Amino acid sequence: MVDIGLTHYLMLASILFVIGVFGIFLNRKNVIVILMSIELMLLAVNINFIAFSAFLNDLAGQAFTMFILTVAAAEAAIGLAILVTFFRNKGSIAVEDLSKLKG
Amino acid sequence: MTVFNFNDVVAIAPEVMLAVGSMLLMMVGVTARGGALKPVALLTVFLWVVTAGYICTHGAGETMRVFEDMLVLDDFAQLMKIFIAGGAVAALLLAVADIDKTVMARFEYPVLMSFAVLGMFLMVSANDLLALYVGLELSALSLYVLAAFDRNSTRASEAGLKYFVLGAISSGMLLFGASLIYGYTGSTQFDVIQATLSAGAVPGPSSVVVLFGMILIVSAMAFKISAVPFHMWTPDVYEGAPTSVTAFFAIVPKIAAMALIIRLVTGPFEPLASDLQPVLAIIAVASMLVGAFAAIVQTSIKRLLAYSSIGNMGYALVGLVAGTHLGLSALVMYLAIYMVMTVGTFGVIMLLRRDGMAVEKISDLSGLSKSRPYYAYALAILMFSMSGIPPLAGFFGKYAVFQAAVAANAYVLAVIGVLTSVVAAWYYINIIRVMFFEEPKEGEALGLSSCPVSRIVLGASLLFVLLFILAPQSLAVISANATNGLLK
Repeated sequence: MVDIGLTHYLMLASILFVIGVFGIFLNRKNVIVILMSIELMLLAVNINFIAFSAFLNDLAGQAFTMFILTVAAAEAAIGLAILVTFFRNKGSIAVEDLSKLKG
Repeated sequence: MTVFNFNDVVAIAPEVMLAVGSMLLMMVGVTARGGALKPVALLTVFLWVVTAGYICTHGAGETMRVFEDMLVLDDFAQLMKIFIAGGAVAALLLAVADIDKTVMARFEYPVLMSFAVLGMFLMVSANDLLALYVGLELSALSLYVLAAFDRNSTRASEAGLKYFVLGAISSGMLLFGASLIYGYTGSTQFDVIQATLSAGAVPGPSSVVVLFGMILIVSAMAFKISAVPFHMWTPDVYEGAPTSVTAFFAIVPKIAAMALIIRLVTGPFEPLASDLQPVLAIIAVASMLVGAFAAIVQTSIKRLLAYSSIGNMGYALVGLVAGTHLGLSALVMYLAIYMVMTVGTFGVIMLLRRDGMAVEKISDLSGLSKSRPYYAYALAILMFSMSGIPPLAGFFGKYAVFQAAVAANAYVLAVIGVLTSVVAAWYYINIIRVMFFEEPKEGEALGLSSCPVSRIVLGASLLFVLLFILAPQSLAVISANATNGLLK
């Protein structure tokens, strides 16, 4: 049996974070998927913080996590609200329709 | 450990005033019946002026750390807060004339700006990664909403959505970097991080991780000041957002984010300065180049100003790369001058109207010297100043920054800076050419907004730009004093 240690948590968090980043950049379909990917990135960071917090015996990391959770909720609310106004104007939430502004 | 120290609350009175005041203003807006924009906007301006006045009269004196070292109050933070409040006042006064009588005439507009200002106040005083994150998000979330504030416009909501998505990625990077720094230094507090890193307590391979975390945080901050390669959102958001919001974006958040970068580079990341300096140098050079060359082909004024702001952040960063006290004070001076010039430029383009809307295209300005000569001359002065032609204010900002770079032996940066400002001068002066030497377009001349307050703001900005030469030392002394305590 392998003991689950700090490294494993950090690897998990890194993999989740990278999946989140790729989800944003490779996704060509739907803006909702982007919002999900953003959430995944933030939650990956939370795992990092909690793992370090347990490893260091320091509460600051867990306090930080609470703040991230709260802000992420507010962020999701605002993102969805902006998405709703976009949908009202455009009638679509496809990523390829985000194309009116170009240089 | 004291749980709650009342002296700390007194020390952050400006922030408390802003927070309580903004929430009260929201109440005023909700309870007032219709047409609440103007009274709420006036009260917001009053709130900011009172806050800035309080900061001016209660100088920091010596550096104070409050709330378990979460926030730091020093001369630098105080000066930056005054800049932020001043820029916000100017932006809101310009905005009210622009959005009144449109669908955007809602009281939430000034209230959101006020919350953004509060977030920026926290950013410049942050002394802990947690305070940094919360302040940054408070301002960013308000700015996302402001970008999409014209909710019947496809372009504005697209701008808001793009800004939101890219902003969220940048805060994800910031957090990931913060978690790595926390894990390897054992603290989120700036002074402890600095002490740990300078004591060399982080062993070999881990120092790479710390470096990686630092680069992630700096990248996230580069996004906020729209430095290359994190500038992609800037032209789109500037173009799509309502012009009054664009003005706010161009004037205020840049100052807060730049102040935060200064705080990070001189504080927790100071032991790693030798690793950080090349990264900042690359960002500065790339921003100057993109700002100068990509702007040439633009036809929209707002896109042009977006690239101009990218370039200007590049010049400002040169002062930071110099890394000396001279460089930092030049940077602060540059920011102040840039802020005033941007206020003036947006003042002109928001006063000129085509079909009741602020002008959008550079070609809209053709023949302006015949139809609206005063505004043509005003914009010409501002453009000359932006391109750094003496004796206008813009020249002194650039001169101070490049002088600092040369003094720090960063000759390459100074040379690239001068060359790119020559290229940038081409497109600034192109606007003057269009105004003075092109025939007016068919159809009626540009209209004018009737707001006297906007004219006063524009006039004040012009006076500053023109008369700066009379006392260039005063601003230099103020910036030098404010940055004194940063470098040990």
